[in-house]
Amino acid sequence: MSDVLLAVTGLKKYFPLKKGLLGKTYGHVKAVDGVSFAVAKGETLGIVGESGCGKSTTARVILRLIEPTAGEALLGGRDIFAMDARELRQLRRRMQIVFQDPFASLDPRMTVADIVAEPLRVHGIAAGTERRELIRDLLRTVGLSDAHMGRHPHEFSGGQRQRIGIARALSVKPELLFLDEPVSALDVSIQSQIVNLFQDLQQRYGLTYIFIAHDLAVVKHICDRIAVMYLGRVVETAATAELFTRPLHPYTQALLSAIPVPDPDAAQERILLAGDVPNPVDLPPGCRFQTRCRFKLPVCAAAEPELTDVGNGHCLACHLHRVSSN
Amino acid sequence: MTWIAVWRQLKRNRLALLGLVIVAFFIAVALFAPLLAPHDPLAQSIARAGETPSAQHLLGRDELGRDVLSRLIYGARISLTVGLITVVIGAGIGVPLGAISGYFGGRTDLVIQRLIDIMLAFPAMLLAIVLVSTLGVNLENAMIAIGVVSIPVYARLVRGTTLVLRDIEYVQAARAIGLSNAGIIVRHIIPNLLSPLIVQSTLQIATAILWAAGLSFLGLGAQAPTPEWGAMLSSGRTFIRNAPHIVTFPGLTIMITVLGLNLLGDGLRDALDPRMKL
Ligand SMILES: Nc1ncnc2c1ncn2[C@@H]1O[C@H](COP(=O)(O)OP(=O)(O)O)[C@@H](O)[C@H]1O
Ligand SMILES: [Mg+2]
Repeated sequence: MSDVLLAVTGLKKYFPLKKGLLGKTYGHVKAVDGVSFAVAKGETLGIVGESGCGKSTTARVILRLIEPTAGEALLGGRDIFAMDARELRQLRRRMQIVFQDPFASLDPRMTVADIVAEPLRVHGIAAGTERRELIRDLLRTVGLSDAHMGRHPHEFSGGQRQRIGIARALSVKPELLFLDEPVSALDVSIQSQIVNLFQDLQQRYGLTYIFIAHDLAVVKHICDRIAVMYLGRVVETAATAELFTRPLHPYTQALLSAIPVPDPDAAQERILLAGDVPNPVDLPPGCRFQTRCRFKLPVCAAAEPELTDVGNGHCLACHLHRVSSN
Repeated sequence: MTWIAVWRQLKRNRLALLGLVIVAFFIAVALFAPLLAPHDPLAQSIARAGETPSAQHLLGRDELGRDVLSRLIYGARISLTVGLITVVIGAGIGVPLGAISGYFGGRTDLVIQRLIDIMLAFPAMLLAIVLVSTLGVNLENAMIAIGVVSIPVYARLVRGTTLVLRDIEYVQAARAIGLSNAGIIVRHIIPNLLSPLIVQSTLQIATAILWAAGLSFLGLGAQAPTPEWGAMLSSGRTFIRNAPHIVTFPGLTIMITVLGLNLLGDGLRDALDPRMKL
């Protein structure tokens, strides 16, 4: 892969479970449990998986909003987790995030101008009229107008609020944007507008995106590559077209079959996932998908499959493929 | 949420409006006491002690012949002061404690919460009595005691709200931007705590007035001849058979003021509730 911007290896985030008067730890939620992926400059990587599989946690750890348990994340070759306070400030200008919930992501007591100005203020970017001009430009860039500057978030629709959040994220001119389910909370009619905005912005500013979603339909048109996550791990990554035509992991196959097809005559078998999702506190030995897998082999209960390249940059963590290709 | 919107909500609630009128009246009386009081609240006239209401003395004279109405009017000043000072003490210490506890969590939270638990293990009034007895019996120490006793109320409220706000996405966005913890608390947490704090403080002023009256009634607050409502109740109680107006009017005044503050507090709670504004 050319020109890697972000490379994540073996990322883990365990949340301690505490109880009692003194807060004794009695276990861990393994929210992210050995995630590895890389994103090239200017690329859009999709991270897809069911709700609760650790997508947001992955983003939050890489953004240093929470501390990692283990692993490495290199941004342009520099270790994010080794950065001191001064480097961290610089990092904040290189990576930003757009959140899922447009109602919770904007402080209800601030005006739009204040919300977009906050990053500029924190980083001492521009001042006075110059800053106001910059805010105006940012709002225009995301499809809002000057007239909106003095308003409060509750006066806007979900889609408009999301645009305000995007303006805030763009204000520091980041290279990498995490988009954490940025359209999941919006009406379908609005979703494509926002996705189009992301595509425009990417072209204009050469942005790199990590686009998080809980289903494959949303990411199909915007992502160059997709990483499928299951219970804190990446189980398959491939270029988008490759993943859609040749999904190898049984979980990816099930996710794909869940996408409605426009043509009602097209033969499509909906793969329903049976079985229970294991508790992320207490995972079974072996493959974490085994409890719901249609093709479970004896080896699946014994060893956790590693993510390995099966050709053309298509990576897979599944025993089935190795067994069948041998 | 603007104050105009709050007012619009409040206007629809009759009881809250009544509360607002009572509280506004109470504050006005306290502020303009010297102009409103028909007589000197301390001027005694033993010979005419216990006189029933008349045109000259609308609420009669107390056990030392002082004008009850004038004493109640000046008492409003004391009660308003008690309410405000105890809230400043309680919120001034409780809010930062709760915010730090909720925001940083972990061991800090644990220590602060156990301290609060210890304070809450004693009945508030009992704790206030112990504090006043230790500090020395006077109105200032009664205010300090009531302020201290109300710290847990604020700390708990603020901690709970902060716990929610800490993980809310706009706070995470601020963190992703690079705003410091102190900056986040000052710019995003405290402003969003204001609504519950205003509600709590309105109710807390009522509680403080009641507690101060209670302490004064027990002789642990305002001392004679201060025209404090609780003290008036206390000194007049022996005459309840012969001159019931001496205790009835202070009692009614306390009741109406506390009721007004509670009605207003409940109304504000509804008006400021973010779920109602959309
Ligand atoms: N602060 C936290 N403390 C404890 N558990 C958490 C915390 N944040 C997330 N989790 C748990 O981690 C798992 C992954 O959560 P998340 O990353 O939000 O999933 P996703 O974004 O994929 O829906 C879930 O089981 C969630 O309950
Ligand atoms: Mg999420």
